[in-house]
Amino acid sequence: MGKTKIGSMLAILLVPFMMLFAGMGTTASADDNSLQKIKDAGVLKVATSPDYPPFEFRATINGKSEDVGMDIEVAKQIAKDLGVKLKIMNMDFGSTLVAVQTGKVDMAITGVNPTEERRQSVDFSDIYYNGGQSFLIQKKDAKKYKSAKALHGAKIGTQTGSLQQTLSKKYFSDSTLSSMEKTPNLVFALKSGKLDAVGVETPVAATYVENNKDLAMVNAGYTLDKNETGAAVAFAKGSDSLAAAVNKSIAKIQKHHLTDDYLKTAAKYMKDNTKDTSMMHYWKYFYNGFLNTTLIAVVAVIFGILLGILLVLMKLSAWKVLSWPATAYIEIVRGTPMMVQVLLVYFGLGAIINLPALLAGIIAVALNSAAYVAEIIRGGINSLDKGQKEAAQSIGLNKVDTMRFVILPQAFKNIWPSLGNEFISVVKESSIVSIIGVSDLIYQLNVVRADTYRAVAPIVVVMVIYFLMTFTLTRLLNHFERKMNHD
Amino acid sequence: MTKAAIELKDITKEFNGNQVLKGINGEIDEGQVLAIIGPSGSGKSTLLRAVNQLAAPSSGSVVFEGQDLTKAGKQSLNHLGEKIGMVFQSFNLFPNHTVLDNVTLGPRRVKKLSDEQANQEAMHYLKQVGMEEKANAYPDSLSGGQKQRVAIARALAMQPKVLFFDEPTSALDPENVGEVLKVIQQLASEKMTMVIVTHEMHFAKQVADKIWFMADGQIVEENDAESLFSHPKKEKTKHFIKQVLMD
Ligand SMILES: Nc1ncnc2c1ncn2[C@@H]1O[C@H](COP(=O)(O)OP(=O)(O)OP(=O)(O)O)[C@@H](O)[C@H]1O
Ligand SMILES: [Mg+2]
Repeated sequence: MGKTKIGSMLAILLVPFMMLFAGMGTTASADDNSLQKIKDAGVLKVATSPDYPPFEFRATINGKSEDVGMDIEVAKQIAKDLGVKLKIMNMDFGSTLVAVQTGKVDMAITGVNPTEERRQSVDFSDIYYNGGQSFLIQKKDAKKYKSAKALHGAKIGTQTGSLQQTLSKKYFSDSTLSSMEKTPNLVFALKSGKLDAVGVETPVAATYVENNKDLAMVNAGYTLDKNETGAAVAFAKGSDSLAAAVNKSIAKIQKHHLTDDYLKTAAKYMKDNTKDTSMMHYWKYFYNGFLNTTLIAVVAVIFGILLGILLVLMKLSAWKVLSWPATAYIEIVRGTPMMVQVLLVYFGLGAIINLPALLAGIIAVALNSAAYVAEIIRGGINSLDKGQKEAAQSIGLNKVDTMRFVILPQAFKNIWPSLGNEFISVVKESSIVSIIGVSDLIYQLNVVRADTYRAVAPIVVVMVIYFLMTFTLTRLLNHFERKMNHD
Repeated sequence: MTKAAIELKDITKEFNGNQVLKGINGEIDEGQVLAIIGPSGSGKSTLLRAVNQLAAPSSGSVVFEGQDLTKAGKQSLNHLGEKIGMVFQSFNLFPNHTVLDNVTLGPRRVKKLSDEQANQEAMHYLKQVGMEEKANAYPDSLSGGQKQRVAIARALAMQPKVLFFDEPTSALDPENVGEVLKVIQQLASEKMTMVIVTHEMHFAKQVADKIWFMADGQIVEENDAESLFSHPKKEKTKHFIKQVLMD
């Protein structure tokens, strides 16, 4: 299956560190209690990345947005067979295997191919579905590209880091190859004539064709090892008892050809989704995204400022025990991508205490923002006349009072515009939390794009929402700035 | 007959190997005005700051109320520090507070006075410097002379034993100098112990009981105002006085 994104490579790199962090090992345990643990808990926690119809995607059922698709049906079957409740946890595809390894979830069912490389870090069940590979083409080209052979020399697009990309490199080296992060973008390029064909899995191609009257599909005609193309359930290493139980469910699914039913159900939801693809119809997705993005930004900014003040006081302290950790913290946070920090908080910290994705996202963004706020405040303090501190000292104010009544109020006034910029960038950059499945605006954007097969309209909607948010914020900040300049 | 409020013993101050104060000995007498004059860069400001511990001396001792400030712990320093007031050349009022709050901040936070009492006392000092009408103004709206008078009220509100002035009129427009000098003169007549670094020779002569002429990190000559200006003993002093009185 096609889902091997760059993010997963990063996540895999992160895992050893997170293991360390969590003090957990992956050694196959002699006393494997993976199955018993789930039964004791009464809940099966499954990670999935619902932007990949028909495997997993979101649909509105009775007014509520829910996870649906073939993989979700597989998960339901497994939970039913185990006699436990099912809990689906959404996250970016790249994060799902990390979640498995760090014990954040019991398994990942998200169209994962059990490749040799992945077997190094996780265990897999038997393959429950093998759909094969196809190319999406424009219907008007159907005569031209009767079979995949005709695509030699054509412009072929695939998802970045996917199996399809590897395959196209191998079999179509004489074609013009390009790749993008998200399938809807590729399809859009195809429809606008920038690409002649898009390599995807057969069921994915089929759903696109079903929902797009301009599209058609041809079989890729590769001869492939099942392990490279089939979908399997991923577990933490050494979960033998769990694997055995899941394989029983899969055998049942295979025997009764249940995946055909699952795909049919999925197609029905797809139809519902595409019945009305107007953006108004999806307002609730955007609205929820807006609420979450606002929540993350507001809480992160408040705690970012409080923590930022603490950090800057530590950094300016004469005691090395205080200043050194603060300096190190600020340098590390500013010197690493926020994405890595988000992953580290969710999986690293999350392995010690149980952190919901939203909370982990807020914590990560606040921790990140604090470092920048600290530097901004420090700049504001340094820009103050030294005489202010001396005057405070000369009337006997202690350090805390000097900061509180003299230095910080003036520093804040001076840095207000820079702080404002930081707030605005928190609003925008908090979008990275979508990788751990926090349903912020960007996350909802991907969901809506996957559901509606519309490439551009959801982007425009989200862009307008972001702009309105930052514009309002700018206005608000200007208002307060004027208020502060009363005298 | 005069008692020392502060005794300076062998005070030195170095900045990165550059010795700015080269052994200062002397007494600041209670109830008297000491003026410090001398060429730019001679270490006058550095000396004031070394004595009131804004920038502690490299060696030597500062004895105040029987205690060596250079050896005092943080706690007692805060308490001693508040007994030595400081008025700066550039006023250093807190622009984020009103005139009244500038004056009450110390009494409220350090002396733990109630707001009511702090306000009451502050108004008294503001009246003393003729600034009571501007109590609710912000410093930015004041002239230099007004700012400096508020700064003096702020220092007075801590009821210091000694008051230091570092060139209190140098940053002022000429027409504002008089109002500040008048306030200082008034304090002198009330027997406030003061140390004034100044370039206003006439004022120094008029108000000071004692004058130190500093050059190159040392006290070159010490005498009462009349003698020092009329009969300077040292060449350096003569030269300096001649020069400043010329322009
Ligand atoms: N923080 C410092 N770091 C390094 N050198 C300093 C510092 N403060 C003062 N100096 C140096 O010490 C010397 C004396 O400076 P100081 O300010 O005490 O002179 P001053 O007599 O007050 O002069 P002025 O009349 O110009 O105010 C100068 O050469 C100055 O450059
Ligand atoms: Mg000076």
